[in-house]
Amino acid sequence: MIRVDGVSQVFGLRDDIVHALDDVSLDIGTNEFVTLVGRSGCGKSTLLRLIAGLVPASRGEISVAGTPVKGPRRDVAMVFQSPALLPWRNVIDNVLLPIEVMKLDKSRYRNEAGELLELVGLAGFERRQPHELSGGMQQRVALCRSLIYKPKVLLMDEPFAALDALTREELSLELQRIFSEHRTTIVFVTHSITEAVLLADRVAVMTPRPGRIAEIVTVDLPRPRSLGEGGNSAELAHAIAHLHELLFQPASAFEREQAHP
Amino acid sequence: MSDMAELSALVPARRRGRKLAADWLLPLFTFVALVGVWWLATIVFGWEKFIVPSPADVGEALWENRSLLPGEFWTTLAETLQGFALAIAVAIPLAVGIAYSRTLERTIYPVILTINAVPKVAIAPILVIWLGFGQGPKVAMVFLICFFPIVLSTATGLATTPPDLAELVRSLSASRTQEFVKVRFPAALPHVFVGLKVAISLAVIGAVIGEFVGASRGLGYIIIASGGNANTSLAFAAIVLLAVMSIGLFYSIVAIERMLIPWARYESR
Repeated sequence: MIRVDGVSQVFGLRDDIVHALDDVSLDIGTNEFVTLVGRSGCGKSTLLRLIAGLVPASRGEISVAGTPVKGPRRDVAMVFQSPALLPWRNVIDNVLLPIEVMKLDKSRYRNEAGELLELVGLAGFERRQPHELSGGMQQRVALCRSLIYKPKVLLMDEPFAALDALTREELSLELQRIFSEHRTTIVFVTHSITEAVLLADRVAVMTPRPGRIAEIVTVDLPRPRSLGEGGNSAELAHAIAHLHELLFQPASAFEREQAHP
Repeated sequence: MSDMAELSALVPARRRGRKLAADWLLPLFTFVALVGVWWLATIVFGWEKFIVPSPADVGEALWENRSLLPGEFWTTLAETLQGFALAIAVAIPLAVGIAYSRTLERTIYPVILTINAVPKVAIAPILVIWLGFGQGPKVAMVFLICFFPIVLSTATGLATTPPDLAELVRSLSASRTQEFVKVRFPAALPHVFVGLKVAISLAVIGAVIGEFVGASRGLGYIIIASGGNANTSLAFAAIVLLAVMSIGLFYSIVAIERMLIPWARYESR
């Protein structure tokens, strides 16, 4: 569904160049859930924005559903770290914003919007204003807004990072449930290892300076996954430990390699 | 249980009462105290009525001229509102142009700045030469004074769309018109209203300057005319009415703002 082929991204001018991404390749299958995990500055958000077509790549090719990405496109939806709800619109009108922008018949999607809100536990909140909702509820509305137009690919850029830890865990459980009912291809950026393992079919571990994919870890565990009683916490713990090794140990080795190539 | 309900019903009521007191009674108290000091001073120092009239003299002047003053009040108000409306009609489209075109920004901004830098009082006599003795030069003066803050605030508002909202519409591949209508302009409205409030608080001044220079009507003309025959009480009465007008206009804009963009009060952006 998504093909990233030899993509490099460079920011800055002349002396002050940052290699945000260096020769990154990644293939993501249809309805696959991939998380990109890594430290700040490893280029994971940059990669996501490149797939979204919000920024053009310096080098390399990206295609979604077989067609090259040349700009923002309507079969790709984005969920940001901030809910980015329009404060002058109520919940349902925020969910219907993409329908309006795409000039589709709003009345036909009204029911659908209601069902999505019900799915995320916000039935009865249709007429509320965004400021009346908590951060977690606002992010759920943002999720509905991205699902309403049935995108082939859902890109999520640290969508739960601004929430408190409990809400965050609750939402990652909920996202699994939503994912099982509305299968799409999801690329999810996070710097929470736990979140990455809970959600993903595959976790792409990224390292910074220059941004690269160090390893891709397959998480072959049944869903729904949870850290609670009766969950598969032992297997999850194993995967989490493995990712810890990858993310913490190689930092120094990596820098040594940089100093003496 | 019922006690609890009563108690919880009581708390907001008391808080509301306290808020009312803070919102209305405190400013009223300040106002009454100031008038009291003024009155006391006229008695203690024994100033002549034509130098500093007492509040009672001003009240008397208001009453005696009750057939004259409302007409003058409406004249000045009409000039103010026309100039203000004209300023909005020109300033907002211009600000949109400035926000969307670097070229327009570079060519027009210096001109606007220059016009704003010229003391408006200095232009008033010239406006009379150009536009005559009617309402024209007064409306033009209000326009000149109101224009700048509205352009500035609207352009600022349009240039500072919250980045997450801007990115959202971009990711939906919205057209530029959609971006403007659905996100950029509404998001700029709180800024626009800052400019409107600054402008309306200056608007009445513009009308009065216009009336000082060449007029036979309006509260500004009343002040000039009553100064000529040492009727200071009437001049004061006109000033009181101008203050009432200015405050009334300001709070009308505040009321429109609350009606049009109630969400702005909850925004912490």
